[in-house]
Amino acid sequence: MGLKGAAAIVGCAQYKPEKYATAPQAFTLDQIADLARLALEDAGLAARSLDGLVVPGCYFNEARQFVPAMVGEHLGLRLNFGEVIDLGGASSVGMAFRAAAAIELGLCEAVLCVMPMRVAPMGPNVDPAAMAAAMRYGGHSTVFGAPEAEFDLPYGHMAQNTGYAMIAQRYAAKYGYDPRAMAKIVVDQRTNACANPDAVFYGKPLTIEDVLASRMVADPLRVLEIVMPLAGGAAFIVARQELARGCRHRPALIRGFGEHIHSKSPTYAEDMLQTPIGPASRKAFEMSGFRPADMHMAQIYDCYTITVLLTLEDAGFCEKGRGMQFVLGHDLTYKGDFPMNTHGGQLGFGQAGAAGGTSQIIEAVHQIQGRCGARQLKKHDLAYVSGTGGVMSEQTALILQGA
Amino acid sequence: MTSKPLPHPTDVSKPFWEALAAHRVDIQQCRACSHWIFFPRLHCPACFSKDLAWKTIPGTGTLVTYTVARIPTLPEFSDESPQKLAVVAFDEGPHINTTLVGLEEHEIRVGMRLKPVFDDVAPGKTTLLRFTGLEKTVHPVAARSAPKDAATTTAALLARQKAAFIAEGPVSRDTRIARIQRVIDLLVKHNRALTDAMDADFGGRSRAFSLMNDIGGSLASLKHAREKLGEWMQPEKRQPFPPYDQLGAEAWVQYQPKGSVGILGTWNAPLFTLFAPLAYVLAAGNRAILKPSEVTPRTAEVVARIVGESIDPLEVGVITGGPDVAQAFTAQPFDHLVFTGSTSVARSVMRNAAGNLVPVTLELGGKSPTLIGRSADLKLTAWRIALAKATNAGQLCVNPDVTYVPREKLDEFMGALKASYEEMFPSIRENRDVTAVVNPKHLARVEGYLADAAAKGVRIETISEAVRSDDTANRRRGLRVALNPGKDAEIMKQEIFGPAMVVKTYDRIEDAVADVNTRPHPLALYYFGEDAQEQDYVLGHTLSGGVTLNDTMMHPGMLDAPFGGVGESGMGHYHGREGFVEFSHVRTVFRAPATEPRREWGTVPPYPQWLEGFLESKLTP
Repeated sequence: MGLKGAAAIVGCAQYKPEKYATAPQAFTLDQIADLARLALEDAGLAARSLDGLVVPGCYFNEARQFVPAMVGEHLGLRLNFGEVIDLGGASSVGMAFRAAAAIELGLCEAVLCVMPMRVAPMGPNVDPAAMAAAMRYGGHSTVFGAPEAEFDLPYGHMAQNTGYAMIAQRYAAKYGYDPRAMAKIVVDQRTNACANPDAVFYGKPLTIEDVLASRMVADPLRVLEIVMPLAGGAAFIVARQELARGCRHRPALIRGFGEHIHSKSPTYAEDMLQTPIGPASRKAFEMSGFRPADMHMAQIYDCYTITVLLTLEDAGFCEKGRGMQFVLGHDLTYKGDFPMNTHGGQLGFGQAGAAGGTSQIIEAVHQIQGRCGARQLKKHDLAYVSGTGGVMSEQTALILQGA
Repeated sequence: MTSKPLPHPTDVSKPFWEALAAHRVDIQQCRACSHWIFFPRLHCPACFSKDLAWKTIPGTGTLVTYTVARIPTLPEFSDESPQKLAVVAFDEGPHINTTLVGLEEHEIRVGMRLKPVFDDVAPGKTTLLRFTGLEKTVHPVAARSAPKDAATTTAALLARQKAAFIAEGPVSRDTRIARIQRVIDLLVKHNRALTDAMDADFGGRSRAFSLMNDIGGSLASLKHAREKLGEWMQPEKRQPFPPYDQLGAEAWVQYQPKGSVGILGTWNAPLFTLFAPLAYVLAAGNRAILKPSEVTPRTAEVVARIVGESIDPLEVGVITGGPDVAQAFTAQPFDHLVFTGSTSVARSVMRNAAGNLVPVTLELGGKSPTLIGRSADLKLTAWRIALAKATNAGQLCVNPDVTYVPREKLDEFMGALKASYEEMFPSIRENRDVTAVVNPKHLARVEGYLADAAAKGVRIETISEAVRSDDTANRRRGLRVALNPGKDAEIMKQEIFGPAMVVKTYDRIEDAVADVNTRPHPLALYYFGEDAQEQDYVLGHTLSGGVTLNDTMMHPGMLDAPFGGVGESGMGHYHGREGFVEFSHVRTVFRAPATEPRREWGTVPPYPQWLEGFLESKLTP
């Protein structure tokens, strides 16, 4: 059962994350075409070799339905596999798995996985006020009958910050809490970002004291422990191993994968401290035949520091409840004994919407390919990558191995 | 800013919300596998059975986790900031999203025991389920009552206040100061939520103005009362009549609290009209129940919440609701009622109060006139009047309404008025310094007066940016001036109370004064000029609540003098020592001497023969 490792990531493309106000605007279709071109170039593949597609549905500007067909038409591709994904920040890792599974099933040869997250130009008939009103509830549904509209919003339970904060508060009550350990996650990742010219916080080092002095947003989370949303976009191509061999760079084989979805809100989870990344990671490791300790790097989805902490524990890198000691006891930078989020993580690199998760796959691939310059790891054959959507609503794990 | 999102019950969830409205917690339980379920569904998420039953549960539970959100999760929640968001596990098992109330941050612990608090956020419609510590007492119910129960709720709270008042006995200086201090503290602490609410209620009211007028104005009254009450509450020795003064009698008056005072505020100064009278009510040792205006509902809600959170409702309670609630409120046997608002509503307040012989203080309004003498500095006068009309868009009870200008100076005055107003407000529609007309109804009222005058051939001058009269979404308006309307024009019959004014020309000051006297006594009168004889003539031949000379609206700001109306502009006052006396019972006490002279004088039965003659001889002119 599971993946045989017959598919690999062979090429990547990524826009440098930028502030929404200054980022270029483009239609989703045009972003996809542009990112596809850059990824094909990176892989050294011809456009006609693409015959599979995974795209996000809910962030797609030009259509609500028939999205893969519209993209196929726009790119001029004939697709043997078309998939829409809706797993929030867990989508990027989910795309890689879906592409690999389709290839191993023999459905297709090369799949474009793309996360276009720039803002599309506003139409002449769009009322900006109505648009702002529609966007103010973010990922929360306000539709009649949606449980969150009825049972969360009237109390002000809204957006992600407070949900993650409540998970952290529960963790603190159960296992204890060391704000310095949480701050160290940010600081070590910032060190990595300072070795990555594409990171939004490149050239802006940080100390634990800086983090602890930053504004409290929702106890116990401070503003520097929270990711900065930006505009951007990313893509990667998953190809059959035979095709991968002829590509420009070292292929990153997809060796294991896991996905777990429980409840949209952690409120309704039986135990919000047992996160979905546990079952997802166990599945991925089991499938790959590797153990957490075998990994040369961990690219852990880091929308918040608490996400990193719980992933370290639940994925099996350390014992449950010992995450704080683990963080304090290891150097998490690219120079250290536990290289984590070597591109800076989303906290240091920037989170271009759902493409933030893609940045972590791309970093793993670039490390495996030995293309990371100043932050290149010496041992760089095996990578663990995680994805997190919603408020630990849905999580995904991926094991990559250099061919 | 829109108001907070409210739940919209579905056919499935309706029993949950209906139970909350009845202050009960009902959740579902699966008949097949006994699993408890929240939120409401058609199936059991444990076994997929569709056989579910609604059960009433105690609603007690345990705190799973919480956070204190330091940045409002939505702007509408800024009044609750910092929000104490929480997840609670009912004792039956299911978890629920909620907020914690009546708990200080340091009292909150994961795992603590909690009990439900039924918060009637939209009385009669929506009740939210909040939680507090098992041992805590919180009073959102007293703060937000359903209209149908307004009479019962008010009566119950009033009865409890009266009982507490009697049980308390004398109210010490320190207690009075502490009560006033609590009100001061909450206004300071929640100033942002209050000014945001006023901004939203008006559809545009600058924070600066709200800080000056409502927060600052209330604080000034409260602090003045706090400072002076020790002196005011001292009993005063009075002179006993002879010959008892020679026999060792003593007499004094003492100022005693009356009991519970009902205060009905109004929308144009939604905080000032509640908290300025409250300062003197508390200074006099009373308890109070506030009824904020329903025209500014968000402000009313914030007042109810913050008072409910930090002040014992037996000291100061809040009842919110519309005209029906006001009717029920004024029919209660308060010990005194304070009402600020219109003359027509005041009649109904006084009628209701008459049923229980409740004394009333009425702060009303009227067409406050401004008389500009020939000796006035016209430029400064015009600037000061323009500033008055710019203040709260003229929506103030002492705002200049009709201005009398010497006939030959009309053009010069109008030019100066226009220049002054446009210097303050070069634009209107998008100008955040311009206060909007509070709601479409009041906008239609003011625009109606102007349309009626125009239809009757009256010239209307529009100052600063013209805004279409029918745009009710944006209710900011520049100043409109009606020139010499006749007596039959609506604008001459009604108090304008908005961004418009009347200018009338006169030849002799006597004519202007005579015209003023054709109308009921106004709350304010203004005279501009350096002619002392003319000034005396104006003061001597008119009657109004108060007067400001050479400016407008200054006398109500006096803390050391009473503020109140006369005739149709009201009765009674607050501010100053008179405000303290207003809410006190001035009680005369006579202490008789031990010596008993009356038997010796022969002034007791059986009356002696000589007494009548003696008394007759005393009847001197």
